[in-house]
Amino acid sequence: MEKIKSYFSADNRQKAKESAQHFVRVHKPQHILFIIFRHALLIGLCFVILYPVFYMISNAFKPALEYYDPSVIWIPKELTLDNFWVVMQLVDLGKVALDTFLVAIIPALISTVSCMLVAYGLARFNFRGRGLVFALVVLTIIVPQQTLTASMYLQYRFFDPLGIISLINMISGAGIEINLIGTPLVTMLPAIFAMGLRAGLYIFIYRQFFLSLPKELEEAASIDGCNAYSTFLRIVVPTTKNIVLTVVLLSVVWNWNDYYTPSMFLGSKMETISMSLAQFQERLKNINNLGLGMTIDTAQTQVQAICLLSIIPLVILYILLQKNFSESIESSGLTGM
Amino acid sequence: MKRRSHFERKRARAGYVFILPWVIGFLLFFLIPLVNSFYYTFNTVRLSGNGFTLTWVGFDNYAHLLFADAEYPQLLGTAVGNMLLEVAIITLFSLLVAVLLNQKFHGRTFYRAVFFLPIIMTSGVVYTLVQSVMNGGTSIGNDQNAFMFQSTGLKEIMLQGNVPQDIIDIVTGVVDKIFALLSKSGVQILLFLSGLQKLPASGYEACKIEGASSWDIFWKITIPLISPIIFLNIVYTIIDSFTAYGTTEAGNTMMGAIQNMGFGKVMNLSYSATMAWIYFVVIIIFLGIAYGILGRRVSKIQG
Repeated sequence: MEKIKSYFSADNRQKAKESAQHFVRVHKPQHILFIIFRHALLIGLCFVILYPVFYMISNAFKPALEYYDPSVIWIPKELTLDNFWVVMQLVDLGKVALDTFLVAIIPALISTVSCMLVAYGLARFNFRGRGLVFALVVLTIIVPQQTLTASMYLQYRFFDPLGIISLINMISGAGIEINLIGTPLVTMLPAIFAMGLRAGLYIFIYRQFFLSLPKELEEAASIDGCNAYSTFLRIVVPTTKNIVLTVVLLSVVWNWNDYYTPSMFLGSKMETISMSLAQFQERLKNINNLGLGMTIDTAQTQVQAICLLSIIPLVILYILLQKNFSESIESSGLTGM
Repeated sequence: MKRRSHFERKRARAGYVFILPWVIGFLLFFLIPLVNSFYYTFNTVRLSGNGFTLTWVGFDNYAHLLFADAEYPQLLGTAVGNMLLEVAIITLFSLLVAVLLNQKFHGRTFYRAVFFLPIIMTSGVVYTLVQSVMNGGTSIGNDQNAFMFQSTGLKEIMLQGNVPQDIIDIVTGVVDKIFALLSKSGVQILLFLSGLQKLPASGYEACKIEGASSWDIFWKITIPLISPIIFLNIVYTIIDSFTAYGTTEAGNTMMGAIQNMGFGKVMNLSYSATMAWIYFVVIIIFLGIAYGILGRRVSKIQG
């Protein structure tokens, strides 16, 4: 109460008046116009970005029949969880969560570690072929995934790294055949070897960060008798918090949303959330055919419900990491300048 | 050649240890598949019970796709046209947004948080669904999926407000394009903003004292200083535009066509690989052009 009183005190009012006058004096009319223009533009663009989110929320909790009710625009007359109930019947959410965790989240986290090691090697050590390795990292970003898919599929289907399995078969006469299709290894293995989804980009981002880091600390550690590995673990890793969390955010989001790799290499054995989304319409249609009382018109609210479910974890992650994300944009060498 | 010192050799060895996982991954998950897929383009691949057989056909696959196929050259043209348009518009737009977001004003943390949201929302299947919400479902002309996208979103609201049909079409068209633009510019805005943050404030103060206008400062100081980022963004946009991949509905894009050819009803792995390789060469050519025009200037400015 005291605080509020003092806030409205004559003294403060006088200050506010002065600062307003100051604002007008300092800013020329065209400047004020520009400020208004800036806010109008940004608010407009924010609206375009947020509109689908509001739409998703509004419809996910709307009774299906209200979808075409012209008197209901944003706020449903009654809130309902029916849409989520339908989603849960059509999609085994527990299995999808587990599969998404194995196929998307774990490889995403592995990638953030493996790419950091490679980038540190590229940024800090002078060895023959370093330039070539970096050029090849850039090449992996440029080559479209689809160029590799056909032979990757065959490679996973008849997995035989460097002919080792064939060799064993030849010697022992056993007919070992390893089929990785339909297992989470199709995303985990590349991630372990810094070749996962968009790994080249993460290596690039990390490398720029390490290049912008002052060398002196590491040199001091080296003089004190630390070898390269313990310097990395004790001196370098603790400085990487923001950039690591930025890469975690990007990597988790992109792996979570990736539809191409799972749909190519998982077949029907596993189902990630992106696959559920893509297949959801098919399942709704099947229900329609069975005549379980659902009409085409009511499907949209259920589609919005599963969309909402699929982005909620990402939005929570984004809100949690937003601060580190912004800081790494502002302070570290995300672009190496 | 100068012999390296013991210390230097030790450092070099540590460097190899750090990149060793990548070298293995590069061989297993990139180089070998890449060479294989290049080899498939000169063969016909047939899948059989436990393995696959290859029949050498020389340049037949290339000849077929480039000269006999009705759709492929057209798809290539569309992809290149889209790319040129996207590079121009996205680069300008993301620079504008980044410059605005870099200014000091109230609420800029909020705006920034919102502007990076598209990176999250629009990199997967959700994007297709979201975009169809934005334009009232007109983008997907496929009858089979139409019921899923019947939402009329913004359109419906305006119809209820008795807005004339022409205006509705214009507004939904523009909003749809802005949304597509925003969703494709997330990373570019991020890179520009990060670059702008690094510019030294002292230089700007000096310019102001000398009496330079904001306009002059922007063109003569800011643009040259962030030219490496402009180049980086153009390269990123070229790659992103060429390799953008939506969902199963993306059959009208090159990426979708390559997938359908290899893994759809036709299951022709060698055509699929050939399509991808021709496409890859086109991407390399355009990246080379971008580097030829811009890369040198950038490195000159950098000294």
